Amino acid sequence: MNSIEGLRGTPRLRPPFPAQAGVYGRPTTVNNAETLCNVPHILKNGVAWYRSMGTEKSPGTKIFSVSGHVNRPGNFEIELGKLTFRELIYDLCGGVPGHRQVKAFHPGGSSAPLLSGDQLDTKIDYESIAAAGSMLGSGGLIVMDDTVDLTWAALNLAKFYHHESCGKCTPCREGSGWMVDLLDHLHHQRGSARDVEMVGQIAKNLMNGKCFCLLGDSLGMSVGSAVQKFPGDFSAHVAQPNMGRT
Amino acid sequence: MAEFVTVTIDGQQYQAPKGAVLLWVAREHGIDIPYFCAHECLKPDANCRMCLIEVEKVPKLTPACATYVTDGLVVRTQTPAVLEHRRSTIEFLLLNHPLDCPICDKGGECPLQNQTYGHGPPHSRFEFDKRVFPVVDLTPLIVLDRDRCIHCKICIRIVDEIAGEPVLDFASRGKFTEVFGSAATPLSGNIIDNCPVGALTNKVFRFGARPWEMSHTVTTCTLCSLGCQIEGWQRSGEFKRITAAIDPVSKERWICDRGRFGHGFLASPERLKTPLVRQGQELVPSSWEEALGLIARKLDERRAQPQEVGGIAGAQLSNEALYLFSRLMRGVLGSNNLDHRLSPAPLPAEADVRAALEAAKTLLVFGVDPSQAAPLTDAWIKLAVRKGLKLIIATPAAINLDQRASQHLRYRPGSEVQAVGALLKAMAEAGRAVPEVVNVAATALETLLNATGLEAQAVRAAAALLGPETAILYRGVQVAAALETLAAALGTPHPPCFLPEEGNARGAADLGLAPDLLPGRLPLADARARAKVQKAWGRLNERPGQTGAQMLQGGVKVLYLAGVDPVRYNGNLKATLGQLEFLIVQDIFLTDTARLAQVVLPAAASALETQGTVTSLLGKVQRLERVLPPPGEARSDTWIFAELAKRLGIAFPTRIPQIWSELARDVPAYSELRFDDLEVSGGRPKTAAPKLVPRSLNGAQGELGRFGLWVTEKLFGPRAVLDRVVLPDGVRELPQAELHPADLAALGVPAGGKVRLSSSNGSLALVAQASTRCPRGVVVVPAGTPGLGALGGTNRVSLAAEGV
Ligand code: SF4
Ligand code: SF4
Ligand code: SF4
Ligand code: FES
Repeated sequence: MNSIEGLRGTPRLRPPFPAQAGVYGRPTTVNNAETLCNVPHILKNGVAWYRSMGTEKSPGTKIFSVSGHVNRPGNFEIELGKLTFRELIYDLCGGVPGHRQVKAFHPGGSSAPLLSGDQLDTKIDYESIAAAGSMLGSGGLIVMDDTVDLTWAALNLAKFYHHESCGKCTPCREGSGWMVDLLDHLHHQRGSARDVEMVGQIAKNLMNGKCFCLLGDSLGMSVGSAVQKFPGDFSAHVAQPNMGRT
Repeated sequence: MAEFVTVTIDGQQYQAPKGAVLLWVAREHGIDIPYFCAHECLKPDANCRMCLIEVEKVPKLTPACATYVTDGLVVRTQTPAVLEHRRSTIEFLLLNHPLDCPICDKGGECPLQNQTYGHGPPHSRFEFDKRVFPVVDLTPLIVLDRDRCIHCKICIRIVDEIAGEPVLDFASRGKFTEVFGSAATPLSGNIIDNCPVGALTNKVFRFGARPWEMSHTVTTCTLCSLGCQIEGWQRSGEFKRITAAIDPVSKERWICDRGRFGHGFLASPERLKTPLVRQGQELVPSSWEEALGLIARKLDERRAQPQEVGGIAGAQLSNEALYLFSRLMRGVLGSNNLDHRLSPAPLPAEADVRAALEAAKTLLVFGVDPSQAAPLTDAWIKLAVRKGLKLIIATPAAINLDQRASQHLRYRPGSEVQAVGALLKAMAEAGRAVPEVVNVAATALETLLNATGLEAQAVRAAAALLGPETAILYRGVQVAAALETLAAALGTPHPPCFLPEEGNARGAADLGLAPDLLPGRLPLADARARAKVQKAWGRLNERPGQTGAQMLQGGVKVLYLAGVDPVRYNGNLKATLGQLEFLIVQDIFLTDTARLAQVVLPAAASALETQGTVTSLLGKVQRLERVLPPPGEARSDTWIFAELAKRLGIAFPTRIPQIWSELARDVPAYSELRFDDLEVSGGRPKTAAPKLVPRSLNGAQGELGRFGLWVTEKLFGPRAVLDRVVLPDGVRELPQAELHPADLAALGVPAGGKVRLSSSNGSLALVAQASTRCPRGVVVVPAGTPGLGALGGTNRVSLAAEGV
């Protein structure tokens, strides 16, 4: 909305909510193409028809954009609550190249906390993914096989978020840069156990509304989950377990 | 009346107005929630995340600065999560912060420093390179150190939301986000006071002293007539800096750059430090005893011929000084030769300029550049235009506010009265009522348009915008009566507001510092008013006196000048003043006028060196406080006048509150104001509803010359006090003649060459400056340009290239 008004692209404080006062102070709704795509079908076939798909709490369908280590990446519209991630990855996407194992996956975009390979049987609907400790989010499924080093993956992600950080709020602006520095350090075998611990703490300090918008939260959630779920990947990078820093 | 609701903060219940910002409610009750980006006068931005707290039923931490109080709101500000978050926020903020407090100007008054001690972690865990930017000048007066910036956006929001000019923003993203742009508005310096770190510093004061070494006192700025509240800072009797004082009610804390950077004259080496008396060609230092004795003897000699004695006191003096001066002249010496003006000028209206323009739907700016003459109006006008105010700008050359105007009236200087006449005529033609006394019926619009150079369409469009909710700001003598007529025709609730140059012009008018007025602006011709003053003062002459201009033309033999420098205004006056029998000059500098005096008295600057009161254009009487002592032997004006009266056998009150009580007794509008109540916010004199008397518009067209001259004030233009302020390059506006490039070429003036302005009274040579803001045939000269008086106040001059 700021960009449309020719202002610097940063999130706006709510209230007022866009539906009350958005672009140029007029009521505005912001939707993505996927949401709007549903509208004609619902109008045509009725709410009951839409609700006949999916589950009680997750009605309808959802388009998943699958990327990463799968044989057939792409967009798949699936009915919610019907498939598991295993089915999505192995049946629809043709499995993992080289028959390697799924090590971890972001079920709903890079901002959704990582799930590990042993959670592949989670059902794909809002409530099941939440119960597994992540979120359905944007439906951007990112699959990583067992060759992936999560320190590298986290660094890659942190770099993305740091680049995307608009600089408006303190935790995201400063924390994302620090995160990159630390992960880069670790990745190059220069970090300490304390650095790993700090990555986890910074992740926590970015989460739960501490940032102005969800961007910082997202970084916190994904990197945080990586450290939490795959501590080994990080400690493997520690040069000397204790470099004697206080 | 706001509805009050109950909020629970940390288990304790409080009443607060519904919708109030939680952060301020908490602070009011002594609950400290640390914050950086919040500001009472700005919309919340919630970017620093320092103020996050727990709100019941909200799963995440919530910014207190963007939480509005509702009934039953329950919040917690001291939970482990909140405390941990504060620690983490400080840690984040300090990651890239240099923490070079020992060499940082903010050290000692730095919110970041304070919050770090209060809430931050003891050590830094950041072991990487910090981001580094070079230190740059954001404006010639403000230094920007981006390394120290914590991105609270307060500066950007002030420039936009308060100064009304969105010219500053962030550039780049993430941790490389940097303040970028300009702050070029008359209010730019406010971002220094409000930056929570040492990222924005005062270029003039920088490194001048530590906050804890200085003392500061709230007083009133007198560098224009708005009377902003300022804090003067001194160290060991040495002037250090000015910051904005906070208004306890509105929480406003804004002053203009002139107020902030223009007080350095106090420390000028040119300050007078001892009395001087003439010995032949020389002025030699003397004791107060000797100097005062000499003056008293001279004045005593002349007590029998009061018409031979006169006095002019500058309107930057305090009400108390002006009052005693008036009493000295009238009550002791029996002379009505008394003025506060060197040349004819209108008296400021008994109005509140801000209230007038904020209540208006249309604002007519006539012959003045408000942004420069009364700088805070620049912001008020810009913000009012955002809210729908229609602006009509009638000035001979373009001004900065033009972009905001709905209509321009670019009249030719010298045709001001006709320009107002054209507006009235257009109103009459549109079938609107125009007072009978006004001779618009007799004049054809064509004639008025020809005289002014205005377009019929522009005049009609402007006239259509005028209505009863119109405010008028102006400068100009001839046009004053015409604008009053216009205001009367429109039926506006506020009289036209003259924007004078001197800080206490309103006070001078209220005190009757004019040859035909008594205290309270009562006419000298009014026998009852006279009787009252005579009773209070013991003596009062009923013969009308001379104006400042008349006295300076040799109308008196003994002249007492307090805080005015007529020779600077008009060098030709040297001859007349040199021939006076006795000239007394009381000033803060050894001016060119003082050099001609028999006795020179060193005065304390009314601004920061004396106690007293001044009356502003906002219709408020406010206190002047003594921030620092005057240099050497210099004494306050009130002390000097009282000492002289004593030597003439009359006892004047000497303490300021005492003087105030007598003054308030004599000025009916002030009678209910008590000195002690004037502290901080000031007090409002009673004002009678304005009586607008329509007058005839038979303004004589100014003397004909090829060029129209527009004299207009500049923020840092030439002025006795501002000339003696140390300012960085590029800030000061030099006395020069702005002309359209084509006119310069036609006159054959080379770049950097001079041009001579001549009228039938005299002439003046100035450096010429090409400027496209001037239409052809108009020359613009800054007010206060030395020697301007030689032209005799005309606005028609002929021009010639000088020295080619
Ligand atoms: S801004 Fe404050 S904390 Fe930073 S260096 Fe200056 S005084 Fe220290
Ligand atoms: S320069 Fe100061 S006021 Fe401006 S954003 Fe930075 S810290 Fe805030
Ligand atoms: S606006 Fe006038 S009174 Fe206020 S600070 Fe500026 S010069 Fe002083
Ligand atoms: S003060 Fe509330 S977020 Fe900055």
